[in-house]
Amino acid sequence: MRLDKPELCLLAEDGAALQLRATRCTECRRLTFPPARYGCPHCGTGPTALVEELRDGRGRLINFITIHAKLSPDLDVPAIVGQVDLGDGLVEDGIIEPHGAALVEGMAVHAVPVEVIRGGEAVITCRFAPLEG
Amino acid sequence: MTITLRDLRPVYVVGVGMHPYQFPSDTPYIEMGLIALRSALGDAGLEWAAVDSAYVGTTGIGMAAGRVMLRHIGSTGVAVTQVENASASGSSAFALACLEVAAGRTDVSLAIGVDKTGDQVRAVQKEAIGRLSATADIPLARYALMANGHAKAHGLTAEDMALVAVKNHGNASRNPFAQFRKPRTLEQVMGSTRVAGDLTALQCCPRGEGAAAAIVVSEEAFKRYGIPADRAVRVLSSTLRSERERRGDLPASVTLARDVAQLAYREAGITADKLDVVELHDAFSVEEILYTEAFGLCPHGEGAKFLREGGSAIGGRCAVNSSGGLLGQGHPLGPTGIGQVHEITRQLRGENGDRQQPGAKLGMAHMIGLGSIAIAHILERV
Repeated sequence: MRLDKPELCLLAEDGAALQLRATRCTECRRLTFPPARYGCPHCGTGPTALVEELRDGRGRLINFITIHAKLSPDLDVPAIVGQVDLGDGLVEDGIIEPHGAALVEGMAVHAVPVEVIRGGEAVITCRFAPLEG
Repeated sequence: MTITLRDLRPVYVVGVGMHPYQFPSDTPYIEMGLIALRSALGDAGLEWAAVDSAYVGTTGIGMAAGRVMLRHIGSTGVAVTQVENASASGSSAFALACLEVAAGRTDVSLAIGVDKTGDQVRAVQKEAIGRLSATADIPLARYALMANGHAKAHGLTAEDMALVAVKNHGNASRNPFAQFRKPRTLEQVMGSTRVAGDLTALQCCPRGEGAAAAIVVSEEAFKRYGIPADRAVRVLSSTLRSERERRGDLPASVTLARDVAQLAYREAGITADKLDVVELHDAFSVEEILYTEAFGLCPHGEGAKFLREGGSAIGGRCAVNSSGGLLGQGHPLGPTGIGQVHEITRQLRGENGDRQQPGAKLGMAHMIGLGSIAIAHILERV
């Protein structure tokens, strides 16, 4: 099955988790996610200084809300949207699943593959889920 | 050394006009724009031929909308420039008109905003960099998350946010240019359709269309055209900045709003406590709470208290969004920032009828544009 947004993530070897494709700037050493493409947004160095760095997709849920209105064609509502602190200065929004899971700010979450339908096609997309244990 | 607006020739607003904001309709943009323009010219007592340059703020009409519209009031050779800066397009058009007059290139300049709903395209969609969540670049989702964060940090409640909408819909109900003209109760606001987090439909600005115009002039123009000085409003400062990387606990867009306001105060030589009226970007109710704090109208974390105690009501310490703001007057994008100037000018002249802030002498118009950028103008009664 095709991976949705393969420029952002990779299926881990065990097939149960996703790795996130960040970039690190070889000049300022800072990380960027989503991956930088045109240059380092922190120091302005050109794209040749950017090196891909895979992250394990684990983070901490720092804020979340329920979206009730269909704000985007790709958003099935109601949906829980959270801000995930991925470490090293990276904070990214993600959809939290399963819907109805008991969520607490500060809890550990990780990027997981979830099957969704996009334009009539089943694809694997990235969601964040509570990290067990 | 940086030169600010106050280091240049004084600039004055001498005429303002609007076409009411309204839900999407078949009304041609040219009709709306020229109604606002003719109203502003009449307000200033000027003929169209006196206008040297025009800055046209619009986001969704298309290339060269300004020239297509303005040729219907006469091809005078006026210098026309179209300005797009998302929600801040009108504010940016106003800034350019002010700076041009201040610099001495022209004596009479027009800032006009006009827009229709539907054809806007966001450049971020062409960035070719994806996001994990479809909501990551949607302002409504961003502000709903900010509201939740502010609730955790400062005890902001769903009712606090709803009260912003109650106040602004109430102001709009008395504004003939407003898109929404019904007062709303707390129960109606909180009971309207839930959209994101604690934000309900009546706490989100409507989509719409309309037009607003402002004519700015130099002191030379006063003499040349016999413009009475007693209705003029001076523009003391014009500042614009874009978002920086997040610093500290505040969301980057709130830090940006604060920084631009502080810059505007410094350029104008004022402090926040001197402001009598403020029109600010309340596309979502929580923004008014966040920005009244960021602007220093009340202490950090006390925006809801300021609102509840009537500090931001007409007749309060500083009337915030006496027009109804984006929530009530509407947010047609291109005109919005100039609609703010329209409201503040009328307030400072003492011509705002039953929405008049008593004794208003100083006002600030403040907009946020996608991306984000923030822009502020401070106006003073002469």
